[in-house]
Amino acid sequence: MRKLIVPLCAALTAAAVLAGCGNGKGQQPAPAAAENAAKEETEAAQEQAEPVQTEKTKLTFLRVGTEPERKAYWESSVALFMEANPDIEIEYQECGYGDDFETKLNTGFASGTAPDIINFTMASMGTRVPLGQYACLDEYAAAWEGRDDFMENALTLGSVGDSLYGIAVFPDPRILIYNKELFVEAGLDPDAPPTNWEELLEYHKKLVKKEGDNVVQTGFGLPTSGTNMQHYLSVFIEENGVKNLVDEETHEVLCNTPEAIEAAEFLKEIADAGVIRWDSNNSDQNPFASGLAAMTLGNTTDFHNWNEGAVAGKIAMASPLTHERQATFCGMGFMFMSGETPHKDEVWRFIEFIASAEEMWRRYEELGVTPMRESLRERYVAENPESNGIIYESINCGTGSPKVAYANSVYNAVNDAMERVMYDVEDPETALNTAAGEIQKEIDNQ
Amino acid sequence: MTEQQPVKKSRRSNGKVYDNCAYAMIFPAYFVFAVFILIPIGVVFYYSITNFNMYSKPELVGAANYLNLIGDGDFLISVRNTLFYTVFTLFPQLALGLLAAVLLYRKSKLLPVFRTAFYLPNVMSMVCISMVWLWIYDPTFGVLNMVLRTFGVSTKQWLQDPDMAMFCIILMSIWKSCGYSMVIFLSGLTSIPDSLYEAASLDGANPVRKFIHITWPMLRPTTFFLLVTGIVNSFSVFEQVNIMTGGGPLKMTTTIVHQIYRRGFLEFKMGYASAMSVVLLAFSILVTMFVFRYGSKGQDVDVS
Repeated sequence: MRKLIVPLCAALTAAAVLAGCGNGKGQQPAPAAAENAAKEETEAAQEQAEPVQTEKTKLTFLRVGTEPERKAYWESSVALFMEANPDIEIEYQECGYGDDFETKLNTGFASGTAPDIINFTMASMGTRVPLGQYACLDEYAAAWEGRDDFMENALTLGSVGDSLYGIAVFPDPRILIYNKELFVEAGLDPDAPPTNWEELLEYHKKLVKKEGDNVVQTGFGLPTSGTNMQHYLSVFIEENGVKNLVDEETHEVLCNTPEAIEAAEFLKEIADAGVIRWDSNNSDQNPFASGLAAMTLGNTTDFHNWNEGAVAGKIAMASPLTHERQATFCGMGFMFMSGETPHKDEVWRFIEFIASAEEMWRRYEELGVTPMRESLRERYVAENPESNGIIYESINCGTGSPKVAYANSVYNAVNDAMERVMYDVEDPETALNTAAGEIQKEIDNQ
Repeated sequence: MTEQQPVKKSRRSNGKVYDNCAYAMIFPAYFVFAVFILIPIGVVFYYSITNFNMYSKPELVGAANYLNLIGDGDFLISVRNTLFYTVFTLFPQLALGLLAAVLLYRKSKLLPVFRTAFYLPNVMSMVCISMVWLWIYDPTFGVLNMVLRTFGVSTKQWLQDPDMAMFCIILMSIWKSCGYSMVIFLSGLTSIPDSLYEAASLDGANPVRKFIHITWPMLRPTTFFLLVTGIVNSFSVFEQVNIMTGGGPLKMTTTIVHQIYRRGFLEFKMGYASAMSVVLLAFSILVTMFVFRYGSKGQDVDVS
């Protein structure tokens, strides 16, 4: 008896552990499979006898960010969509920006549990499209009534080569935002924000306040570390005539061109005049939000949030600065279809719903998000000619992240370089040349 | 009284005796260990000699990943930082834990309160603790700078200062872990016979001499245990670094596990990250062996 019990125990344990390891799809213990087969036969017999309601298609939707107001919007959108499409059920999920989201998505794709619908940034296309994680939308877009009405620049930014992969939902231009109250205190005209580099530096110096060696108020709030340093550099190199950090088409590294180095030197000059050090990974540390910086770069969501916090009613937007040309960094939040989803038609129906004119306007009314359809443009600008005009201007002149497979390496190299510049470890030329060398190495390894 | 049945044992051809039932009893634990630890370690070894990127079929690259590690400045910095963190966290944590244990090893109604207070940080999630200390270190609204301002001292950029960031993380880690050391030391103290202290008192020994000649030698096994587990834990430091500094500024706080995470999960270089993991494993084993070889002397104190 003992001889029988021992292997039986071992077999049961092994079966229990392996069953726990299974993904639940296509792995059923023998008795369960037999039970299911019998159940299916009964259901088939019932189907012949009476009409059966079609089973719902279940989709998972993962969006980047955890802002409560956006969560409320997305949950109401999902509810509206499901009400209009009773055959589809969508499970809403969200995850914070940055490394957390990247990790969640990576592990999802690696384990075969990736979400069907993804709301993520333009920057992600460079790495995820070549891996087949985002599905091409050309087939669906060809028959889409909204294509001709959609903002052309948004469609271009959502494309890799000639193929469309993402439908824009959240334009994310970096806008110059300033604190009118601090301008008045410093004797500056609150209705005349800087328009070029020279004015920015001049205003910055007037706005810096020090107690001993400590900077207690700064003019232009510039981060000294963190993963957003490259956005700040991008804005200034583009204003100085550089196309991007790298050329997407020719894969030429542009972050160490003389114009890019000049832009980094300008940022260093601002830092040397006095900045409050902060890590852009921790947005809570942003001195602008607490009234300790008079100017900074932010997106429309930042503006909205800051305008409800410590600097409420004191802040305003300004047009992008001009140096060689007027430019800014313009990120974009997109809807992507997972390359692995078996429910592509249903996913497209949801994306199409989110990109409809009605939903766009609802997004504007609830979140202040710029509509991306030409037919809504005039109505949008008319709502608030001062701010909305600037936002449109910023989107039009904005360039986004380079959509290349080695994009993460570009960001890391540039962020590291700018951190070394800000901490006086290297001069801008040396730091950006080092970054360019690292990026070139990645390009050669592709 | 029933006669106890002798345990039935089988005899192998080589004459060794083994017990089927005993093997069955330990099988679940070993099976889980094999599936969730041993096999993954083997898989990591395999990935470390490939260019695995999580999504495409891995191709063998030989020792290329290991050779690249030698020239990887970020990895070498992370090794230095991890060693620095280990040394400056572990020893103060053990010293403070021992001090707290000795001070709290007496009879008083308030002692449970103090013991609980010291141990409480250890049971809290490292993520929550890191968030709390992030606020404490905040340069504008942080408690630390508020205290400095109150005393008229100039404020500090705690986590933004390359010279201070690692010490800030170390301070938080010591605060969190010294309660654990205290509890283990307390259990060690309870095993020291009172007769030794009584004899020492009769000989006129003061508390310091009692500590040096009785308490400390008798706590060597406890200290050794804490040292070995502390080294292994310190080598795997990650959460607080990722949350509080992200490895910066200027990579002054990046650690080996932080680099593994970045390379593997953010840059898709899983093969390269696996090579780092293998090096970390080898390093942990080597250091542990070294401690076992030279640090475990004097554990056989005879108190009979």
